[in-house]
Amino acid sequence: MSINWNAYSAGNFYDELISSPGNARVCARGLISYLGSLSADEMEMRQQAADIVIREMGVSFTVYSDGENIDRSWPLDIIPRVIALKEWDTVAEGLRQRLKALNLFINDVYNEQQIIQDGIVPAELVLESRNFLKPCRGIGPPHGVWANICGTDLVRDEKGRFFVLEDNLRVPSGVSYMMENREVIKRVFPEMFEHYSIHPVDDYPSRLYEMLASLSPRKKSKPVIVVLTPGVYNSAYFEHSFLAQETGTELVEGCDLFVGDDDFVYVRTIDGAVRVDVIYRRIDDIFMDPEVFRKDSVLGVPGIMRSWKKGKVAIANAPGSGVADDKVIYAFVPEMIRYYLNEDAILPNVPTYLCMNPDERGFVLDHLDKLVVKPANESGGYGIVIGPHASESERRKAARNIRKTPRNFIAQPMLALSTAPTLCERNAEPRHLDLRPFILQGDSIYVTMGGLTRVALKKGSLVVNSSQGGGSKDTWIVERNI
Amino acid sequence: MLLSRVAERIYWLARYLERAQNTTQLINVQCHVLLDLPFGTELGWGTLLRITSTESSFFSRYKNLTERNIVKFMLADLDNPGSIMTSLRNARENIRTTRDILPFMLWEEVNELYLYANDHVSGSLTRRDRYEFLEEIRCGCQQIGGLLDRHLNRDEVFDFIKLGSYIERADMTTRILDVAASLLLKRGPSSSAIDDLLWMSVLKSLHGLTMYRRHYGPKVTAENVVQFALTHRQYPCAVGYSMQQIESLLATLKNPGEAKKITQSILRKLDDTEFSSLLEEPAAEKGLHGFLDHIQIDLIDLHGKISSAWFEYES
Repeated sequence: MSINWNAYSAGNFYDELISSPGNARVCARGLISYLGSLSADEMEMRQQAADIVIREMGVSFTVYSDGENIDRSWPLDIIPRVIALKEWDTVAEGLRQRLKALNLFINDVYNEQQIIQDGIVPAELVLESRNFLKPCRGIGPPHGVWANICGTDLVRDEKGRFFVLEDNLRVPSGVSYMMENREVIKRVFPEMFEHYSIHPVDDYPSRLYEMLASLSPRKKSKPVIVVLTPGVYNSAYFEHSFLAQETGTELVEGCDLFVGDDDFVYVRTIDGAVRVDVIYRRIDDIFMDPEVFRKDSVLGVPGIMRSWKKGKVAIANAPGSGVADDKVIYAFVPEMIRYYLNEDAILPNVPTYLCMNPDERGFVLDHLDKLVVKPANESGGYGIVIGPHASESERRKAARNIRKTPRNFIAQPMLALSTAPTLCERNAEPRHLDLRPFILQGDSIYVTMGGLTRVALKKGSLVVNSSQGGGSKDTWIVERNI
Repeated sequence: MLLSRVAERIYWLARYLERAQNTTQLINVQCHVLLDLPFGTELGWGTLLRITSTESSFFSRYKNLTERNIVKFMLADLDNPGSIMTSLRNARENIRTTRDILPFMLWEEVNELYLYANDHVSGSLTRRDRYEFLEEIRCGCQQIGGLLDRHLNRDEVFDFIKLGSYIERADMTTRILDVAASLLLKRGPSSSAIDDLLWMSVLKSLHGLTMYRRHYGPKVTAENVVQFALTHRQYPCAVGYSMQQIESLLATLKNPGEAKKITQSILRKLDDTEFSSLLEEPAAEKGLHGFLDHIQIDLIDLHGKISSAWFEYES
């Protein structure tokens, strides 16, 4: 018995690999016939092999509700998701365009605020946002770029069109899983990599290094670059360590750094203090500097903002970048693209209702059973209310919250997220998924080949977050049809 | 560039790996001796607790000094700072936070060894299963040692790993000799046949019998074994060898402070001691036991100096 593709149907959803029962999409033909040649036992063995590799590689992430348990393995489904290079090229172009506009926006709101004066984005939306950090006013980071590392979440609708769901501009994570997934799948399906041209994803660390080095205030051949982590109990610690290792930079915690009397940042080494040029920080803005933000932060470095403002150290992403990582600001991105670049957005937004506007709020409150309500400022899928799946009391609670602080909520229509075959109980079943590519901007812009595909492992579920029962898939960008 | 915090963690990584391996040797010496000694000879497993200074922690958890309880405590108990599981868990935690500067395979190996131990330790408490478990742990630790030897740059990271290994190894060799000293006290009226067996077991547990014979010939005597295990400069488990290696490591690192002085004074102490007199009353304060105690205190002192020279990160 092997997978019976004639019995596989995603219903009305767009399936990434199968266009209709028994028919593979052109870009996935080789993969589907190859998978069809494997028996159910063989498939199960390969999945087990993948699970063992992951356990031994120690790929893990933390779920906060697990308390101190920091060892849940990252669930990886072995059936890859395939996208044709030609289609990907357009998506990548759209991602470049988007990040360019977002960075122009951030730089603008902390400096001239032209876009506000021109009435494109309402002033109170920016200036009263808790993500707008006043201490960052008047700063010009290297290349005028604030968000150097961006993880953009993409979804497809029932017609297969890509939409941007959100832009993660603070400390986006997941890129290490993208690379680890590829390592695992190479070990599991080496045959596929021999015969087909699947674009590699492992140049990310060197691109990340080049981007970080381009920010250095000292023009020397080997600037001192550190990755600042909150420590081993952070959900993404594995990734912090992985990135430091892969880029050959130092993984540091707040206690390893200090700011000297000369306002330079130093790291404590066995040979004494060494000056730091670039900090790739993986801690949130408000924990960065107890002198400026949260006084009780033990994760940060006192004085680091002072050093950054004087240009004595570069920080990526720049403090304050989060001002554009807000689901209300998100709704304005197509406008920004037109305003700053004089272009139409290549990648559309998901239609978004802003609860701050009375008309739209009324519509949202009347249609709570059909819409997805999201808080403007949470990440990791926390606080989302999926109307059609929510209970009556959950919807009432959402309505109360919206009335209380309308600025903090948006609503979007239920998306018919695309699916892909996922191994369940020795057979393939459709499961919903999204895609998070990573984009780097320093003196130039780079987009990963594909990204991290996250898949909701529960039947019918639309929540793909690893913290809420999601898994992942390897993502193949293929040149020729396979 | 090596961060102070990272230097400290890799130093402890090495100590914990060495400790796990050495604890297998410590338990093996006890078993060897038990199997070799004639029936009726009084012997207590409690010795292991005294030697590893873990009596109070043991008795806060267990009532009876049975072999099973003690083996469980030494192998599996996470409340015992010296147990094999604690050592492997701590080694893994230390490497988790330093893996960015170590060969990637190293994390996989340590993780795999920890997972093996975690899965098998509870089924390894009987005498028969125990040997296989201890052998697996020893092999795992040595495999990791081989990996470091072959794949690590010879820079400060390597130096701190070596510092940690040598200090831990020197400490454990003194503790293994201490097992022998305390067994000598318990063996009753002097019997040279039993003594020979005992010292033979010490050499076996250090995996050093052949090396001893190459140097001293076939006859195993108390004085020669003690001399060999404490002062020898070519035998890697000898305290003297470890101290000499530490001395040369300290010569290459910047600002070793007082660590150098203490190392040299330990070396002098080892070379200047007349071991035959220590063996007259081996278990007494003036005898071998007391001498080993002083060496252990010196090693703790040496650790303190290393720590203040490189790990305490005041700005």
